[in-house]
Amino acid sequence: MDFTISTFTEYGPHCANFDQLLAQAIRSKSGLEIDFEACAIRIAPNAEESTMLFAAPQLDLDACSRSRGASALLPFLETASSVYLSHTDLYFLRLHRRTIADCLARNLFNAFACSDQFSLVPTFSVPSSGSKKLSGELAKRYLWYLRSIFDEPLLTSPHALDKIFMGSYLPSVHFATPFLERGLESVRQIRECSDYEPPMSRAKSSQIAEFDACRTELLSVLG
Amino acid sequence: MAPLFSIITVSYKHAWALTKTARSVFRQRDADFEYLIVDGASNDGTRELTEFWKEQKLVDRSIHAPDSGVYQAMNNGIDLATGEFICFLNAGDVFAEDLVLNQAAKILENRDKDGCLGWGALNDNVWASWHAGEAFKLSSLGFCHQALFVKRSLLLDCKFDERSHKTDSDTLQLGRLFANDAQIELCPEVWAIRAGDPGISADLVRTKKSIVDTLQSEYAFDKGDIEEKIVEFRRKCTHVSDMLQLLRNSRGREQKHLALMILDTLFQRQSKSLSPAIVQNLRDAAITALGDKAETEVANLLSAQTRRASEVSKSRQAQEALRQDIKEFAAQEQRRFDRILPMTSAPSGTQYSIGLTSFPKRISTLGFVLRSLKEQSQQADTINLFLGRDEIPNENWLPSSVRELKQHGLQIHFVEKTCHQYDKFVHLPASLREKCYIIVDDDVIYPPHSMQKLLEAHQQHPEAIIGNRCHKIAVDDDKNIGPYRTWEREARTNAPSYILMPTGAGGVLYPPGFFNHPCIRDERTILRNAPYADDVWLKFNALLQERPTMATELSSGSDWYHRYTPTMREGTLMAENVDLGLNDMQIRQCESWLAKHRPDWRDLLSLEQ
Repeated sequence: MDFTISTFTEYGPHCANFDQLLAQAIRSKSGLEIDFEACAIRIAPNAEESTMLFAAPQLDLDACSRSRGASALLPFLETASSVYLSHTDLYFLRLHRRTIADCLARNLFNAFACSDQFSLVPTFSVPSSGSKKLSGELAKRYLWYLRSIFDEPLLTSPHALDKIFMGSYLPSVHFATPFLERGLESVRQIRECSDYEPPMSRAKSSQIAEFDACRTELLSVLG
Repeated sequence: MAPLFSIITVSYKHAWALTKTARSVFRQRDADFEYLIVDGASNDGTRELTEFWKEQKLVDRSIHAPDSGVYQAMNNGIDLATGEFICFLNAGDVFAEDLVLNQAAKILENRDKDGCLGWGALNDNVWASWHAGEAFKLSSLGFCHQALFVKRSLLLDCKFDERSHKTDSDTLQLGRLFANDAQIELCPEVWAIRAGDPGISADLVRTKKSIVDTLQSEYAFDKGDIEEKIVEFRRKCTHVSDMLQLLRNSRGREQKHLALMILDTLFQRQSKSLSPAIVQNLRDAAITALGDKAETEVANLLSAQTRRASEVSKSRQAQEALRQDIKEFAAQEQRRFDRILPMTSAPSGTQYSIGLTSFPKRISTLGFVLRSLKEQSQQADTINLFLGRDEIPNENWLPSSVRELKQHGLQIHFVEKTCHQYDKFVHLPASLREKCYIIVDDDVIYPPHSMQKLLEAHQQHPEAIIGNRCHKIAVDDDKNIGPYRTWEREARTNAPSYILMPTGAGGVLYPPGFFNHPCIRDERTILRNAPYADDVWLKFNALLQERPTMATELSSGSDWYHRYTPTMREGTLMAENVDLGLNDMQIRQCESWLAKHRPDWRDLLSLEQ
């Protein structure tokens, strides 16, 4: 069964039944499609690798809100050890203060700087012409960045593109942002709470309780 | 074609703070912007500094003319700008990271937005905007103007209130923009770090007068001195019953703006003084006053404040982790001192003093550095610590581990405004200029024989500058200095050489009289030629005085330091100087400066070929 959500905002899942749908999707291990203005993301567990999340965003790049695209992904990362996004999508999705592409570039930098091997597994066992084209596109986009970091011999290496392509599989640890933490916490709460009630349909008293808890927490942190 | 952003820095007699602000602008990656400086005709070297940047094409245009205050200067900046969106990052403020403009561009490009507003921070405080509306006229609601990007076309029609008593013209302007239906998107990310100096906001009387003036002109509260009470409530959470009464008696936009102000105040530190019952009353009254907007506004508020708590908490955790590192570091250092203390420490045969400067982020580990200097095998006459009162107001701000060293030869010199790393010789007293002066860094633990090595080399080469860590300058056949990254690191030569550049980190001994030259300590000349690189500046002064450099044996084996302190990463200039190419820019500039004073200076380099 697939579930569809029609709205999503930057401040969280303001769609009335979002968390309910999310809870059902998690329980039934189903796919989920988030569809908001000009931006849809389809999330589904990878059939062959249970810890791999395959996300296929369909973005109208001219109109969509890029940060929304990223925030929509967040709650699903708990079940995934890595995420695959196409290279063009990498450029436009945004996490925390950086584009995912920036995270990617950091990954590459770290891996190259440590002379490390990429240990992530590609989903394409044999690179197709399409995937080669995408990796070429990625290389073109980021060569300016990479040039400022890496030595020339590395860039001219016949394996450079392969390394860049492989680097587009992002371990979910690289998504460790406060935004994600909130998303994950929400997912955990949904799992743990059997009599779960979506927050936006809760009575006013619940919001007030939330108000007091939030204020207490903030003031204790402020000291 | 006009750039996407105009970043404008307004400054008055804050040249050294301006260096910090500008560096954070230069660091912005992958963004289309112009950079403008509006200076109120300062006489502290701001003009010279701006000329340096303009020659390097880092600053596009500038104004150096008297103005009536910060808001007139900001309006002058609007007139000077050509970018589609404007952001004011005034002297002392910095962008939080190097992708701020890139992120703002992603929000603003291809969208029908008039602007975007991020968050600001300073130490443990976060200014977290959560409401997009006219209510900024009544209170700041977490507004940080350094994180605001607004269409220039809108600002031309909605300039800052320039009247001399105004201190809140930025929040008033934002409220007016929203009142005119400007579409400004909130972005819950820290984009700017505010200056430590609170500027005009520090004048509480003037600030109160300004806000009261705004409240009287923008709202129709019909009750005596209620505007002053609003300010007091906002500041100290007093006059609660007046606020509740006003909220219940008000209607329309007044009531809504008051409710938002009250909710925001309940999430500020000053509200801790309120009892739970009063908090409950204020909360319920405000939520009731917001009517059908309450659920959305409260959701926005809670979302922002949760995020704010997370940001503050993160900062606290980082501080705690650093504290733990320092604790461990202290134990290790104590064990080391216990081992080295039995060594004979004797007064030096050569009279010498040590000089260094520091700043708040490194103060917690400064005691270890000073102790490593005190426990040298050849003792210094004095250890001189230079601090800017604008960063560290007095000795009470120093840890006891630093203050107690005053009994053992530490002299603390406070200067009114810091020149950062230049403090250690710009303010050097005449008495210290007449003997050997060793400059060191505030993040390095020096081995016990560091100063001894410098002094021994000085006895052999009394006219030379002695360094425990030197780089060899790359010079081509035409006597041109090559890019900094091509220089040989941690190098030595058999005899004193002009192509060695000592770096302060290892400790550098300057012979008596070196700092007496009229140019070397002149702030304007420094700002004009090398605002970010004291090592480069001192090297070119050494060439001017025809003094070669001798590297000690420590230079080639990385033995010049024992270890770095845990605060080493705080505020380091080296990486940025190299990344942004600032070192090479300053070297080029110093070459031109030196050529004016000594046209044949390149011949000194050729002596080495």
